[in-house]
Amino acid sequence: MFEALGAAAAVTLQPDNIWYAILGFLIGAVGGAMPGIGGPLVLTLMMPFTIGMSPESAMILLIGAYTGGQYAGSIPSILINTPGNSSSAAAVFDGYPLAKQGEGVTAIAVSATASGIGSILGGILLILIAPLLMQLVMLFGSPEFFMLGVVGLAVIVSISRGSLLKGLIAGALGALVASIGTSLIRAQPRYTMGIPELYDGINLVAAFIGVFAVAEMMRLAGQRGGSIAAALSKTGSRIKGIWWTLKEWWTLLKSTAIGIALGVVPGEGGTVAAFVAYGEAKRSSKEPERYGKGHPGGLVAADAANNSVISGSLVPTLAFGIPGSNQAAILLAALMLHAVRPGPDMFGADIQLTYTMILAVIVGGVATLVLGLAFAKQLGLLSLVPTAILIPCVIVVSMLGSYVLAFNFMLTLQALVFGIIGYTMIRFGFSVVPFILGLILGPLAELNLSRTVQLAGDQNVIWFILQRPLSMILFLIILVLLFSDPIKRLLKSLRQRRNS
Amino acid sequence: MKLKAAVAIGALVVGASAMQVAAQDLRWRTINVIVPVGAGGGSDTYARTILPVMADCLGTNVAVRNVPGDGHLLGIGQAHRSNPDGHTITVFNLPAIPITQLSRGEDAQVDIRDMTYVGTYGSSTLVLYAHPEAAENIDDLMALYEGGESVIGAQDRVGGGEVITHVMRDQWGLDWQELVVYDGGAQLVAAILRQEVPGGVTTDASGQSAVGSGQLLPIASLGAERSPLYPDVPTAEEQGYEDLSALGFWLRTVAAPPGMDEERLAAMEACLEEAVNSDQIQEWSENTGNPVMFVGAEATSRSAAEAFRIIGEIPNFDEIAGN
Repeated sequence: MFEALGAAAAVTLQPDNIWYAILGFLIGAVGGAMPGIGGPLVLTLMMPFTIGMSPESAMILLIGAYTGGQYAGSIPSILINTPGNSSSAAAVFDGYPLAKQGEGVTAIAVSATASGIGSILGGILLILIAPLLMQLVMLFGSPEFFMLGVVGLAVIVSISRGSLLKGLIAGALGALVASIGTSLIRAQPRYTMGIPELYDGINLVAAFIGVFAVAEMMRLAGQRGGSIAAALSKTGSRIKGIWWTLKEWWTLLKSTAIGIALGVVPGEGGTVAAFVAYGEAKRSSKEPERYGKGHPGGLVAADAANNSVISGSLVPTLAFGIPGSNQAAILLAALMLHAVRPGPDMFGADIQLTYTMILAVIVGGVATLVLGLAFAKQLGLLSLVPTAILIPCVIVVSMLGSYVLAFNFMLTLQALVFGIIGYTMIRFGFSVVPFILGLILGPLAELNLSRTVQLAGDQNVIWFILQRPLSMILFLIILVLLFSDPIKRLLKSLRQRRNS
Repeated sequence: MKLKAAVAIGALVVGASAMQVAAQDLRWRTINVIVPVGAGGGSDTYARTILPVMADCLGTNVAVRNVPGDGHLLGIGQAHRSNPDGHTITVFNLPAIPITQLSRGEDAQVDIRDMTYVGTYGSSTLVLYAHPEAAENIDDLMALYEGGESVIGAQDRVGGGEVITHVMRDQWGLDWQELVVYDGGAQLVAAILRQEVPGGVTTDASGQSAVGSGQLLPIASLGAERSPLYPDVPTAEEQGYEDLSALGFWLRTVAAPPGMDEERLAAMEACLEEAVNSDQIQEWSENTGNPVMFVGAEATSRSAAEAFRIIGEIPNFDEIAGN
């Protein structure tokens, strides 16, 4: 192991490869920061340019772009309430309120520090426990995917701002909207109203652009003058951001572990990881009421998980050729372009290339820390742009971003409709977070429940699910998420009564 | 059609170098390639790799645009409605897209039967895979289902994978009861690896890595010939089962809007052939395991018509399509 690791380190640290990592990071960051462009598209466009490079250099360049895109997706989340990609959506919850409070630079520094440390710790953890993670890939079947979806939906209870009932209504509405499109279960169109563009369902990124960016710009347009940041003289500080992140060290570690564990789950894990990490951070916090209003812990959880997902997603991609995320699917195509065939040998005879890729993630993490912090101040100043200038700019970027998703005006229309939905929800005191969770997790839970029912055959479905160890663990997590707060409150009131 | 065929055959006879001169005489602008799936998948990779070489032969370049949606029909529909001047083309697979179109019935937004087929530039063979503990050949799998196993996996809903699995039941008597549908070949392979389903059908390339791990077994090639990726695995016909190659051998085709000018079609067809046979593409194919092959415009057009005929004859197709 150490010999292969040393050889991989020697390759990764060659000056050429360090430059490739930095170049990849910067290209990925620029693309990732633009809503609608996002990491997968940037990686796809970069792939042909790697022809002629060695497989190691190509992977270092592309993984640099992966880490750059993953980090930079949070920048528009923080500054203009618009996630650059779906996994950055959870960074909106506390990142944007921090920017509004005049802590734009601090929030970007928190994001860079948490993302950087998440990537680095995720990489180290992967080197140590990759064989164990390979087993985890095999443990996630349809019943476990269903339970994972329910875990995510149960997070609604812990992250709903204000009324729980409103949170549940918003979550249900999100799940209902997600059912638009051709059902994968019976192949019949649902709520498509004969519009062919709706047969593939709601585009998640267009929905995010609408619910977050368009709705927020509509809200800002209703206010008089000013800028996003309430205090014009303040933008926060980098040192404060680093300090706030390090103070949340336990959340950082937990979220990194959640990110790597769920990143391993092929396909769906990465999107869920940031939400689950956020929900857990809020649930276990001593001041949960501050979450959603600009608590650094929320941003730390979302970004650490979002970046440690990168390492996790490499495991099924390299071991079985089953990509753990969209970006991992493109890395897989790039590996094959360079005549590298993924398989268990990637964790055996070819482990040196695997270590090189993991070290590239770690180098990407270092780049996130150094470059992310270096540019935090300049980026943070964006929160001071007067709303009269900002609103038209964001609307144009949002419309353009939704259009380029598929070069189809239908998606622009979707973004607008979701903007109206989001604005209405804000006006009537509904949190959009449960709505988004319902939108993401509804189809995951529905499809896998359907598969689970098929697989159970004549058996009782509940028993079929609960007799599987990992499903049982996820069930216990759901119980904790649903009932830990009420039980805590009950115990507290009992204690108070006894004392009085 | 006869005239088109004659021109196509004539073009092949004239030879590639002469065609290159002719192609340049036609003055090509940038060719817009509409890829009807998202970036990064197999169809996208093929288009981005091979079509620039074809365009180079024509003396121009390509602008690739991904237009996913409506089971590929959205992007194909856009290409279908474009000006047939040779500057907009699209790519899709046979028989997967005819299946999607027919499943939509009259709601399908495009009829690909009248498109101008430029040719075929790649192929995939569908392979029946099983977990090594479940079956080693089709006979074993048949015995497994006769013994009470009920579930089988499919890589897509109302696509090539699901339809051929139904046809295996109808024609071979593979007695599965529940078809569990996954989101693509990779997810189906994962389900077989963790023994959630004992087997299922997906492309030869989708299972290649897992086969290398020894945890997935290709038990039959569903093409007329063995898959180049698994030369030791016999075809279904070699194992004594009815040949399903009309559905089991997928062609990656290039098509232009209906009514494209015949001179341009002939030039494009010749350059597609030159691109497929170029050292660059052959080397790419060898390195990546992505099979490339050239089939001319007329033969590709015939394959499309044949795909529609075969799918139309599947007795319970409406039921499969959820209509």
